[in-house]
Amino acid sequence: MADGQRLEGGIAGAPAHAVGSTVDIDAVTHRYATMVAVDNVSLMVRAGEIMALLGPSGCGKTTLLRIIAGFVRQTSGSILINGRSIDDRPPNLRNIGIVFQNYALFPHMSVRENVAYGLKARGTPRSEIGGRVDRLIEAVHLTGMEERLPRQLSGGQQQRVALARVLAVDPSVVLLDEPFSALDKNLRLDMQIEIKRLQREFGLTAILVTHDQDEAMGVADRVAVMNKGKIEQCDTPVEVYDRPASLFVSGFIGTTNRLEGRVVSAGPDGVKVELDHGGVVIGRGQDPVAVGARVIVSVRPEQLVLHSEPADGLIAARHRLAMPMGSQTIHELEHGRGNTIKVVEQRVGAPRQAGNAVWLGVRPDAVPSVFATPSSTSSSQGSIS
Amino acid sequence: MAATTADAVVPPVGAPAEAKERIEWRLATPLAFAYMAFFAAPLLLLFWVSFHEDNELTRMGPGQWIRFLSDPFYVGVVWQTILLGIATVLAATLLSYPLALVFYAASPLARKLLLFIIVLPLLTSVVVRTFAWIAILSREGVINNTLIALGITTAPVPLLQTQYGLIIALMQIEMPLMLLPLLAVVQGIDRSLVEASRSLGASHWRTFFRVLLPLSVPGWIAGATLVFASSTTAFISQSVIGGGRLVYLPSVIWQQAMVISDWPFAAVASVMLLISVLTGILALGAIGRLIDPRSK
Repeated sequence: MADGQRLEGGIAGAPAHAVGSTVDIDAVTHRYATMVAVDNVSLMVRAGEIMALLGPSGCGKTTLLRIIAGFVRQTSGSILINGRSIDDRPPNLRNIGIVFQNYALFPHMSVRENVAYGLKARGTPRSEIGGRVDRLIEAVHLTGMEERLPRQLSGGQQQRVALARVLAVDPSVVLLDEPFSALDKNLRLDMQIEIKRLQREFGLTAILVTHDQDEAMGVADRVAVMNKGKIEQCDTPVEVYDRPASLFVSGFIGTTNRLEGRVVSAGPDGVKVELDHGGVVIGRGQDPVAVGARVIVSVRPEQLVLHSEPADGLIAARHRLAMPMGSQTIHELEHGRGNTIKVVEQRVGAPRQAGNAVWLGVRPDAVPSVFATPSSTSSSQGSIS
Repeated sequence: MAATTADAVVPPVGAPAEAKERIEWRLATPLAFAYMAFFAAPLLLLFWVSFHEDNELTRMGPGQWIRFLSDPFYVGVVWQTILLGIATVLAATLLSYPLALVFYAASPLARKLLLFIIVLPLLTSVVVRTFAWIAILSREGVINNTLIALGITTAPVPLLQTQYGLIIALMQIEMPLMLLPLLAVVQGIDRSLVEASRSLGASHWRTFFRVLLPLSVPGWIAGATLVFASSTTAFISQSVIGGGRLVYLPSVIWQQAMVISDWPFAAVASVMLLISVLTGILALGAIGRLIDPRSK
């Protein structure tokens, strides 16, 4: 087995090749009795990158992870590692490492035994195991804790053991299942940095499953946003945030304001939209839209600027609430009847007075996204709050 | 006014922790008295009686103990009793673990169904279950009739009044005692541990021996303790299935106390049975600590 060769070649903690493997998810569909959990998903994960599968619970990301790991057999489609199908291999012959949400450390084994488990299972010579385990425990900064049981470790330390245990077997891919959800907020950032560092050092290909967009944005090289079993968009975190491909992505990633309106012109400079409750916005058409079509404009709170005087094209609104959050102030405004708009602005002076009429404009360098109104809601006006 | 009321309600600093620490031992007094009167006192009496030379309890002495321990027959009976317990535990273990694995992999609904089937025999009397085994094991019983009908044997195989027959019957009768604690523990083993083991390259067998088996040991120890204690003292099953040919400590006690009316000697046999059972339980506990480092 080629993987065995790779394993024995491991030196000084990190393998010398440090390139990782590619993972191709090829038209994978998985149906449970009544529902389609994964719907014809295709995704190519490049060697040595961290790909985040991001989506709300029930979007199919965990099922996809379990299909890659071999715990669930997909209804159709194929998983390829370095171009070779692994569909017929049981989980123990896939050479895929998993860091579980609850770490899944063996509670009856010491840190050392946990890290050595995979090597022993693969029949690595005893003489090699000791040194390799020591180097990995050192790599995750747990030297001196070798003989402790998992329950004697903190959450962060347990996760380090889980990482060392996976890295010990030199997996071609590492799957991370909501790895930070059980950690408190301060530790979370540390472990995100730690995982990124180890991933670079070991040249790993990693797939991170999460419902937390900050986690995905911070750690991943690319983010695949999933919804209802499908991938809505797969791109770099910045692209996904700035150019959401769908209404779902625009709402799921970050905070956004949805304003309904009608297209007045569409050209190479963008789509000009006249909003239902006044104001004109020029944005990028993410869906093909014709003049006169009903659309939803997605504007991020930081893309808007407050004006105290009316001007042509500005959006009229009433100031309702200001939340000073240190350097930033979040304003909540009312636009039309019952539509709220959030605006984030850098705070320089005293907070604005609530209750005043204000006017909103889009920052000159910001480009809102324009989506065709879904057909089911096209007749109603101002239905999205 | 409001402030004073609040002060009165809030206990002084440190008091809540103390209140939490204090356990209300007085709640246990009725049970403690019952135990003293009906368990501890008779047990002490038993020890006291065993150190008497005569049936009228006039002369104290170690004579009965010397008689028991120097007689190869009685020492043999002690060993046979312990061996019966060990054999029953082993047989029950061999059949319980596969079922525990089925239970572990089963859906919640299937688990409920399995538990019901396992508990079902406990709802019938031990006497009924023992006599049912006579119908199965006897010369013209279910097993022998089947073997003869299939042409595997021509003459009936002796099963009743043999050690094998007794072990088979005891294994079935005591099985729920092994399974219930074992399944309770197996149920609590996180499935992601099995998945972690598999993804790290371990086969199903390695996963079983390195993960599931060690983690289920506390349940097995509890079950094995119950089965051992219960099979070594199973007077009814031992007498009915074993008959007169197989002699175990409970029937020695019965004979000496009720037939021969040698009370001191019966007391010695009783204490020996107690020691045998306790030794078995302590040995099982030691095995548990050896396998599962968490219990240290």
